[in-house]
Amino acid sequence: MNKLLFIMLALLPTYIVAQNLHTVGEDFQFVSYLIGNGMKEEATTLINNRKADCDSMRFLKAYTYYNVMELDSAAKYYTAVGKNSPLRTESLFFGSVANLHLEQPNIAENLLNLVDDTSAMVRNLAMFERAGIKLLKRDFKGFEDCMKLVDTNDYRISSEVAEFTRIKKELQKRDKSPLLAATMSAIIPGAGKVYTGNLGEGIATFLTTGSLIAVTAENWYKSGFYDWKTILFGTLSACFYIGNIYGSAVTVRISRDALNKQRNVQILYNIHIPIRNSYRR
Amino acid sequence: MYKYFTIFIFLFATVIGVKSQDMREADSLLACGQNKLAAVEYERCAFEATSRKELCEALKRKVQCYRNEGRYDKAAETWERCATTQEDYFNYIMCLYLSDQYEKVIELAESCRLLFDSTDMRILLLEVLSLNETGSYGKAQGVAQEMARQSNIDGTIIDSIYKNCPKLKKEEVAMWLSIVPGLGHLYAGCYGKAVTAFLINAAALGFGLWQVFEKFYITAYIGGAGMLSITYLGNFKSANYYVRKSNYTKTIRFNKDCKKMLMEHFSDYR
Repeated sequence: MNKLLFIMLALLPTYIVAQNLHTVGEDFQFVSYLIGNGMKEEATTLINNRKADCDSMRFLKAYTYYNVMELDSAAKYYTAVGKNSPLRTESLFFGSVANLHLEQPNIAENLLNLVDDTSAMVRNLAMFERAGIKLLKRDFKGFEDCMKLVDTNDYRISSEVAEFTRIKKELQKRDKSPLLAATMSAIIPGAGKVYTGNLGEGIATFLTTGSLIAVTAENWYKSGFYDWKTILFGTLSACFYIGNIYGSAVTVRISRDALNKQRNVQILYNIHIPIRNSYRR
Repeated sequence: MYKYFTIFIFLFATVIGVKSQDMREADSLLACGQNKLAAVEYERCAFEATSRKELCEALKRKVQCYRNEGRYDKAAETWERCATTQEDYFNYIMCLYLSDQYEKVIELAESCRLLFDSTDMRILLLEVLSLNETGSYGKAQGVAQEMARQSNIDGTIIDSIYKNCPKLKKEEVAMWLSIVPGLGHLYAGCYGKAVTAFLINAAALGFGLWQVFEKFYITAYIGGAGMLSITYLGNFKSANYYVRKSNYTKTIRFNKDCKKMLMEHFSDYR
């Protein structure tokens, strides 16, 4: 037995040198070092040249792509981590977040449904994530149902739960109406933009359109309707007036989209934080 | 006791073997032209290095990978981590120069004067070229004179090269001249654009005055003065833009000729 051990030890260097292998663990340490030192390009080059032939390597690939924000690949590899892997639960959580960033909430929800870890902490985290997804989908009833099952005393999610509640209240507020903005702008040019919160733009619109209307009025009064200046400034005024009405309606839509996007970013941030804290590497 | 000692030796040999294998693997990748992958493997050697010497050795080879790829910015970043000798600094500065980081070249060349007793002439040459690129011709001439003195070259040659250095136009002067529309453009050397700028502003002013004369005061104020304010302010911006453009063209032309002449005279330090 001792002789066998001795021979094995003697052959070990030759074996390692011949195989030229770095273990996944070594690669993991090295990739973390590269990412931590801002060498994301190097990390991607290394990982692109590794075969995803085992769960640990698939996880490492996913981890790297996630950190360099190549979310398509990250989602793909997180999802590919096998059922029996100890990294499965973590992969499902991060895969779910990656899919949320890719605007795939249904896939993200399905991944969370695959979490079969029975520990109370994991189940609570999964339920919290589901609540976040419902909020992203603007399914307020679903959000309430999930939140009833979440243990809000869990230190990892307590502040995020408060944030979710605040965001939900904001989302339930009535949005500004494009029709009302357009009507206001038709009555007083620029008023629609003031209504959407763009005071400076509103004043500028009022002054421009108002000035052009004043010039048209002066020329109409002094030279008649068919004078070339009346026609020129009248056409310009009409264009600006109509443009201002249309612009107000569009501004409401743009600001509504921007606000929605901002809230989605807040939700995603609050979804990500507890997962990151639970699986910090 | 003997058995454990043998095991220890083999384990030690294993570790050493694997470490040198990393460097060999990186070397073979570099030899195959797989520069990006070789750079990563050299970085791994640097990561696993147990001494400053090993670290620098790995990083210097990593630089070679980036140079082969033409990634001088990345090569310079790597040199920053391992440059120790004057030769290293020359290579570092060269990478900075090739990646158009002229301000950094000047800064580092000045630091080299403090770091090393004798100044490498090649570093001085790169400093002169970088000073030219930043338009600091006075300083560049001074450094070139210093080089000429050290190489026993006649200083009048340097003076003759810099005699034709472009006199760069000042944006502030163009701005003040643009108070009269078109004068700023004339200063920048754009005669056609100067006439256009003058005519556009004159037309806006003329329309405004005509409307005052016709007693169309609102039209005069909003149509004439409003239009004039736009064209008049635009005239300032435009003049500044053409001064910058003219300076850039002159600098490029002179620097190209100057570089060629300096390279001829200091051919030993290429």
